[in-house]
Amino acid sequence: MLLKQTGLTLLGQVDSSLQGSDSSKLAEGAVQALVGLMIVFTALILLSLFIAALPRVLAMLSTVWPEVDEPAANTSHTDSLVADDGAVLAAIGYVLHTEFQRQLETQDSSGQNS
Amino acid sequence: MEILTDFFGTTGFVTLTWGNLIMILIGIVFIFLAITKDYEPLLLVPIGMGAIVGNIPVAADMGMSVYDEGSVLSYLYFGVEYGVYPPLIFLGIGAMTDFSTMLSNPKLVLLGAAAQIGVFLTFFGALWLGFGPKEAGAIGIIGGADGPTAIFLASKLAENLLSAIAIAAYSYMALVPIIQPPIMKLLTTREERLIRMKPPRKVSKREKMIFPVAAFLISTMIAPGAVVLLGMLFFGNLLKESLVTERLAQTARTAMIDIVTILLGFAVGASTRAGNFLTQESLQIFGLGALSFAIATAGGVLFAKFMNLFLTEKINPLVGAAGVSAVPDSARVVQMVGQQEDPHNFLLMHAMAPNVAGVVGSAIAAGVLWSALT
Repeated sequence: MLLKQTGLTLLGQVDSSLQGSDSSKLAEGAVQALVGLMIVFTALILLSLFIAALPRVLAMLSTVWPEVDEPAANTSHTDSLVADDGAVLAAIGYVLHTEFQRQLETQDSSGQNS
Repeated sequence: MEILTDFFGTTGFVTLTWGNLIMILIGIVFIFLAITKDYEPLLLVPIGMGAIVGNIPVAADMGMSVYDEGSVLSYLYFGVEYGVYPPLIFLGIGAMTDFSTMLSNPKLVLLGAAAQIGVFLTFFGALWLGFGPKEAGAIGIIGGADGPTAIFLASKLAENLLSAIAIAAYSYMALVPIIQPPIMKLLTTREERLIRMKPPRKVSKREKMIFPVAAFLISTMIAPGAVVLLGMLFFGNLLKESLVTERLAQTARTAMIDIVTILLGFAVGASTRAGNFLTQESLQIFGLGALSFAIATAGGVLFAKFMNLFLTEKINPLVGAAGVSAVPDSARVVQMVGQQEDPHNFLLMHAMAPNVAGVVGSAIAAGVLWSALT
């Protein structure tokens, strides 16, 4: 019932009546174009109003359900990435260890030389 | 010798028509423009090569074109003919689209609606030129500047015009940097082009997660015909914003959209067989498409100026031109034209808001036309 009152149904009725002369066909086409544009505007105006209201609704909601930073960031990592993270850390650790060892050996040898 | 003579009679050198030659040249021009001018290369290269492939004349009994039942090309064309590829492309677009700028400035959504005036005026223009209502609806959607939407609607309403509509839509999308700037400059003053807009606010993760589901419900309750396109668009966006399906989002916005783009572009190109494509109707469609695109651009710019009559924080009217949904090209054009006046004015982020709203708007317009005209 509600749908029958929308512009969409009106548009359909106009289309089915496209039987007359060219001028009436054009007149009906103009109505179709106008109603179609109005429907697009209605949808996007409602979308715009929803977007405008959303921060306020969420602000109220956050008093009972506070938003946590990065709530699911970790779960977006795949297993392989987590494994890779470990591997990268191990590699960095190995390089640092090797570098420190090399520096210590250099200091020792320079101490012995002096 | 007779065998050789018979064979020569089946070669392209003998059976090639002027129409085939013209289409092959058009295909080469597409590839040339994509490579040298960087005009939508991801689309023009597959379409151009497809046009060349589709216009090599073969013997009638070999059945190799997209229109021959059982041919390999006909299977590739299936996704175009039945509107399978466009929703898959929308899935990828959704997975790569960041709606943050739109969420931070909801007023700009209206510019995406205003640009759809091009769709409906062209629909009327096509009726005036003598096209039937279904064909007029399919032609009008070219003004949405959205190739997948144009293909989807043409496959539903006017399959006979599909290749002409698809080529027109993609050609004009590629020509955004040429078509839009003169209209934008003509309709704005220098002072208007210099307007700087407030930086967008930070949008919370929760807003971004809620938006795709809510926006889908709002849009499709009003225009149920847009369920398929918007369903896939917002599904793709939910994959991105939910933060728990990053792998799926990554696939949708990279490998999957690339595969579908290749198949869609090539199949559309291959469908431009001279006999089907080089008609008076195609010329009219190209003319209407250009008109549609120009009206859509003007509609967005003029509506931004109209909104400025009531707003304290003015919108740079150039941003209105991004209401056509050629993402992100029209937003880039806005940035380029804006920076010609003021090199320190960054309009790209602001222009992305009507740009993505335009995607939603053109899908709704397609849904409305489909619902009304079937």
